[in-house]
Amino acid sequence: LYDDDGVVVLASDAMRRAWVTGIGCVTPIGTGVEAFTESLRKGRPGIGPLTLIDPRPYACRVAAEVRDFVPEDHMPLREARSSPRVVQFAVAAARMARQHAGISRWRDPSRVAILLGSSIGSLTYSGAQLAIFLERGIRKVHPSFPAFGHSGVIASECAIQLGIRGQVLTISSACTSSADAIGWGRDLIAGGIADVVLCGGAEAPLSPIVFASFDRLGMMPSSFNDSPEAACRPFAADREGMVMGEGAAVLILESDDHVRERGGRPLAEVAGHGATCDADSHFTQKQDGEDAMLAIRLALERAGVAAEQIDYVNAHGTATPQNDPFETRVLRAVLGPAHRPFVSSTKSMVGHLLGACSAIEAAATVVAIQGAFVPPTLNLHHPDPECDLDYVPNEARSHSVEVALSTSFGFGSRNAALVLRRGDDGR
Amino acid sequence: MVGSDDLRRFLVRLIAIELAIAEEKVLAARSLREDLGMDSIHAANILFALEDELGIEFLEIPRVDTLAGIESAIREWAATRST
Repeated sequence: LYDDDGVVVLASDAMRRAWVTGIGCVTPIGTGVEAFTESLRKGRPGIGPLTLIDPRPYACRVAAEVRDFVPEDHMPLREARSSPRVVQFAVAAARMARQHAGISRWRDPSRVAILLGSSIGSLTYSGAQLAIFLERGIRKVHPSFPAFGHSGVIASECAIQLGIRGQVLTISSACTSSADAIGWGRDLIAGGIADVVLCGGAEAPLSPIVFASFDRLGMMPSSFNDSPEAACRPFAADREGMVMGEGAAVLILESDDHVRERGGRPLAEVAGHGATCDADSHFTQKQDGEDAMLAIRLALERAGVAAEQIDYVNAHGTATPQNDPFETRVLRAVLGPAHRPFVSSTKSMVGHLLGACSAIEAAATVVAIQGAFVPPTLNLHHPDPECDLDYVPNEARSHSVEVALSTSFGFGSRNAALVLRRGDDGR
Repeated sequence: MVGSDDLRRFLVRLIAIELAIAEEKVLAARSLREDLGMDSIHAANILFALEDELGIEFLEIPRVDTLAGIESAIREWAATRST
């Protein structure tokens, strides 16, 4: 529990800890945690030509698409045929997370919650329905539109298919959505409100209206249409912007008692979460970085972790001209000039999944903790002079990771940070 | 227009997917609503799929409760088209 200044007033050991015990993911670098881990370790990029929509109108024609996903493998045929792609990603990731945790049935479904982040949400589906309505008339609007045309369906469809009967929420806070979902998931466990929380995020933004808007903002690279794997270049001097991606990741969080009593295996702890807002721009962060730094400091404080203990930072690292030097300054200020942890941007492999980015990145961080390696930042040959941290360029490094930080910044000048820590063998 | 056997196979499969049940149950049911638990949303989805995939445009929304009822609604639509 915290006072008005975000300072812990109830010792953290009096609160229940939130253990990650399962990961499910559908990503541009693989579906399922094994394929995802392998790609992170080998530095295998999932960025390719834009194929899900007609690429010709856009300056940027690359994307991080999910290419190996078969909806029927994860849900009944009816849902596989009719539900939006974002929902299919979420359901598949949630199922895989539960399976990875080794949970076959919920002990008490009313004590299980699901919180999923998504920024674009059902807009891709709604936009397609709107186009059908305008082109073909009212008779062609699908009768399921009221059920699928709102973003709340991302969490509720998972609840329906997995029998989750506690709190069911889709959280939409731009590119911090899933960091916030995971942070609130931790708080539901810590506060005794739930015993199990499925948390993470899903995004399927590759639709003409969304792609056009980011393309017109000039946020995506246009010089790499013939070499898509080189398109996302975080912290590099020649970076041109973010590469839009799609997919989902879901973590299973469990309380101490729940994981102990069922004999589950903790992979890591979600130890702290901090979230702030600059309350300033619709788009970018304030350059002084004060609120971004506060989000990170709150996450560290709530985790009871000193900045010097951070071994690895999974950075927001979007590869936009604005983000990377800004984030570098923020990290340097919070972590101190002498402390140089590994910092990498896995977006160079998976792209930017918008509201699901922090979920994929939290999953990558747990994988790094478990596998004792640091995923690389690809395409980093000539760093921006303003970006002077150790970004683990181009190849993963074998190194133990005990305490890690994951940062996220979003439209609306939102900031979020998660602290993840190795589980000490079941506490 | 598809042949009546083809149409029946198509309908049975469509209903089985919508209701998430085996095709044999669709064939054995006397009432899709009472025997198989079909609700108004299931019915709307089935009619939408018929309109979308077979190019049918029902003038009035038929009351869907039996396989034979759907088939006769489709035949009635085909008859209005041919006259």
